[in-house]
Amino acid sequence: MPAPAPLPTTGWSGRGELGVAVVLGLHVLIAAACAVTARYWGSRVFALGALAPAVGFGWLLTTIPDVLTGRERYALWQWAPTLQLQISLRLDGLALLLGLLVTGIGALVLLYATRYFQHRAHGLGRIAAVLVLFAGSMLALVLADNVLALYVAWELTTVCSFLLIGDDGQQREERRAAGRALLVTTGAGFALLLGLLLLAEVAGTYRIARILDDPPDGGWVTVAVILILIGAAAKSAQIPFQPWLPAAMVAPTPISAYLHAAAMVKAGVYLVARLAPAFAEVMPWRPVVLTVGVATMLLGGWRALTQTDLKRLLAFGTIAQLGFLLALMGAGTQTAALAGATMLLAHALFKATLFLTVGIIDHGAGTRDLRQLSGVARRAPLLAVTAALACVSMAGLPPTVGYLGKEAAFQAFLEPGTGHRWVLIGLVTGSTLTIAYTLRFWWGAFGNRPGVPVRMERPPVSFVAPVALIAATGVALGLAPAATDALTARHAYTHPHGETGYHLELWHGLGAPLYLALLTLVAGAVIHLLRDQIPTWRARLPSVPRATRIQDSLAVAVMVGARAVTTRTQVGSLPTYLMVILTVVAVGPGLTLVLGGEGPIEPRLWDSPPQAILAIGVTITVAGVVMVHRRLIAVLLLSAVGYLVAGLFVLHGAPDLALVQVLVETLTLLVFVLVLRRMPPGVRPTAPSLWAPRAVVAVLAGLFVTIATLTVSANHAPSPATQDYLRLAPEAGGPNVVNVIVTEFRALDTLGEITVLAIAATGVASLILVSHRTGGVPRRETIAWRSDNIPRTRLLPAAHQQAPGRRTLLLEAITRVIHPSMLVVASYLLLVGLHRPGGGFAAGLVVGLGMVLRRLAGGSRELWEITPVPPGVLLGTGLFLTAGYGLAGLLWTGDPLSGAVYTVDLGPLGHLELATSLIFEAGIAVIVTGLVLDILRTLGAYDVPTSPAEAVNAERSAR
Amino acid sequence: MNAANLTLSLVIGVLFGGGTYLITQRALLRVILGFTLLGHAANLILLLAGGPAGPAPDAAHIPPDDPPRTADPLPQALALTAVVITFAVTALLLALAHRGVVLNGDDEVPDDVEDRQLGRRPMRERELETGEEDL
Repeated sequence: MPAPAPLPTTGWSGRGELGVAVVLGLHVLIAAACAVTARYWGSRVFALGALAPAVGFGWLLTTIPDVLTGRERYALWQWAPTLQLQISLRLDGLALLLGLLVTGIGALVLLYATRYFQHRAHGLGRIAAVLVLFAGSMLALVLADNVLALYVAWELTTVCSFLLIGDDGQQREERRAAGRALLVTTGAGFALLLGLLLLAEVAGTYRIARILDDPPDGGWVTVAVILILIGAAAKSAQIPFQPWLPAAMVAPTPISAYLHAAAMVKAGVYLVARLAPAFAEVMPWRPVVLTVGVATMLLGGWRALTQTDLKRLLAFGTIAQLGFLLALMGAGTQTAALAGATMLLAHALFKATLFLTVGIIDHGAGTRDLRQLSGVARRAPLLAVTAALACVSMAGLPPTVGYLGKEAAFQAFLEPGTGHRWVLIGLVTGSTLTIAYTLRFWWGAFGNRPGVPVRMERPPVSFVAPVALIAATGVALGLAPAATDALTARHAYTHPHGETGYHLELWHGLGAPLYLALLTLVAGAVIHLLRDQIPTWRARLPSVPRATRIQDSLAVAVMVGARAVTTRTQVGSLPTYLMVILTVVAVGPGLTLVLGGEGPIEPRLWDSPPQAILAIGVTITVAGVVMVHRRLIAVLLLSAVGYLVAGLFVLHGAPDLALVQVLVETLTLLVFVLVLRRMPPGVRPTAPSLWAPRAVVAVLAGLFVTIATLTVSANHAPSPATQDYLRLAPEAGGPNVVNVIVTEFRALDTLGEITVLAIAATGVASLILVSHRTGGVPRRETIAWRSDNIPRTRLLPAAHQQAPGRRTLLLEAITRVIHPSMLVVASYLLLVGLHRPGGGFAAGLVVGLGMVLRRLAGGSRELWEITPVPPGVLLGTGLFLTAGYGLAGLLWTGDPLSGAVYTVDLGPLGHLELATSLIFEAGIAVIVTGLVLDILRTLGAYDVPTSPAEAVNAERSAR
Repeated sequence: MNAANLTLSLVIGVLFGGGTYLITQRALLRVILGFTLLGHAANLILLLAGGPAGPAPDAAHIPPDDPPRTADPLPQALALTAVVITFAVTALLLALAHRGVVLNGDDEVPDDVEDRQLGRRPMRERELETGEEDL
């Protein structure tokens, strides 16, 4: 075998890539437009939808001269090349043939839908949008040259089919049909995915063209082939997956015609045709494809003979034809492939015509039951002629494209060396049944039945015209066998075997194929004449397991299984969920760490001995927090943990962090205490059966984190950024690198973080205050303080409003003295932050602590005295300062959040270095103050409602 | 460079284990206590990942070594803002617990009723079955 020619990685012309991108993108755009405009345009929206496939059809027509002369088009967009993830498209003979069908019939079906849905008001946008999306997905499916892209497009068509069958989900019948189609095709689609992945992995490439050029072999290929055939068989409604297709006939006729006759159900056949040139010789490809195909053809034809609903008759006819196509496309010889491609074309044309015909009859007569139809041909002669043309093609009579295909099919299995006489017998029998049900269809739709009233209304010409166009195409292609041959032979020549030089002709001379065709015609006519006997024949056949029943019980089993799993895993207990998550975290990555072989870690014992003392303290206090059931004691112990951790920060060389930690820890303790006032003093002890598993999970989690920390820090490398920070900090603000990082180097982070603070503060307020944020205690009663009628001797302005027993004069006096000095300390921390430990966070926290002190000494009304503005104003001011500083930097220097340092000469006092980032620091301080104030005014207020009834009352009085 | 420190790693493990135990409890207050412990653990992990202890990173007094062996300032800055955010979130959680006490009289986390009822809903799966005789 000669080495495969290297494939081009990009299109041979830039236009190729652009064209296909525009066409596929147009489908998405127009689908969206349909969804939006349907409200105003009604069913005319389908005409807009038809634009997308029409443009696609036009684009494909322009590529015909290139593709049919062997200049295939490729388009490749890399996504993640190392993972072989790419969108890779290829337009060759087979893709062109299917693409023309998908776009051409799609455009005409959508035009037809403007009439079909004329009297329907709801859900049109949805149907139109999904139909157009389907057209785009189907085009992508036939163009896909990457197995994953192919699979994605494949499942997109399945989802579209589900949405279109299920309609708006109001009808039980529709839901059931849609669910069944989805379960069958996606279930088998999973097998397809496995098969495709297996094939691509064995071949070492995900590009289909490369796999076909240099097909892999071996045992895994056999497995892959079986899995792929399962997926293809389900999609194309082959035995034993076929029952979903007749059930799907509950969908409106344009959908049945397009998805379930012309396009989607061809996807399985397409995939078989695509892979056959490379894999037809791999066992068990040929036996499976031929057996399944022939059996499906016979079963579909046989079942079509007893249908009275014209649409179901056509559905079983479709199953039969799909079987026929599968056998032809999968056989793996050139003539069979030629026949397959021709039949594919023929079937799409005649079956779409016939479905659309049934839709018109259904509209005009109000029924599609052939026992209640009579005189339709007289009322709708154009429709009768259109259907007759399609029927001639379906029966395989000249001069139609169906005839070309059928003769080629017989020829393919008559050729010496094919050795499949039983296939030929099966196909001849199947064709006989086809002729019988074709006659039944035309007789049923257009025949006269004595005693049945004629109810058909004359359909408008614009309703029939798109249908007649499709039917006429079938005849035109039959009359121009050379053109049809050109269109289909490109695919046939991709097969390496069975070169015979056979071409499509209307007249091949007298020979076996012609005699066989005549035989099927006569036998089919006889069967039609004996149609009344068929039910009796059917009754005599032995009963076989019903595929429907098996599929139903499988579907039910899936649902019952899903429920069982859900009820066992989704138990509704938050602790259980958390334990599952934490166990997975500890065990999964934990085992990887332990077994990963990072090499032995040799940790030092400690950085300095005091670390060990603090560590013992932390361990004891944590144990206390965990074991104590008195809430207050647990909270006090938690504070102890926090202070000890601050000590660890100091030992580590992080004074700023330790300062903030101490301040925060104090505030946290106070906030906890404010909330504890409302809570029961103790918590219920955990039952022994519950605490043991939780303790195990906790130990596992702790162990995991210890090992992870050791591993991470053992592989520590000094960060180059840190050295830069140390070097650049003095120019950027001051020598205290940590605060310069907070306000300069990573100021954007800080801006985000203080925004979180503002949001959290707002969250606290909205959870506690029932009516409005500025609520709580109005300042009205105490406003008189500023006038002179209240003696100035009072230490704290609002303290007298507390209940007498609550007041502590000593505390009031101390507060009076200390509070101003706290504000001085805060100002100092703010100003020196860039030079020594301090900064905006610390300053804001100190101001906050001062407010806590005032609150404790003077009662909750005191807060209104020291800050007459609501906390929201503080939060807003802080955000304004910080964000405004960032914007000003952008305007001044072109860089957001950038600052400068100015030196101010204070004469004898020395000089003061003022960095502009002080504004940013001040903003941080104001936000932190606002946060603390919000907490104190809500959690710390006296008159916060403590019961639902109180809350309602508070709301009433607020109004 | 090996910065692994057994004492600190064990402290982190203890904090994390204690926090884990507490967040799996029913009383919301204990969950919040656990959350705070987890916050301490996370901040210590940040510091330890930044390298071993050293003199405070003050650009005015950089030790003469090259590269200078100060403590890494970057994780300190990250932990600093994390400490404050932990405080804000703790306050938010406390407000939630407070709300629970106001509305229910206690701060226990109840089971999700929706989840519980999932298993008791009548079966609708039978809908998929048909009586049709399609082969």
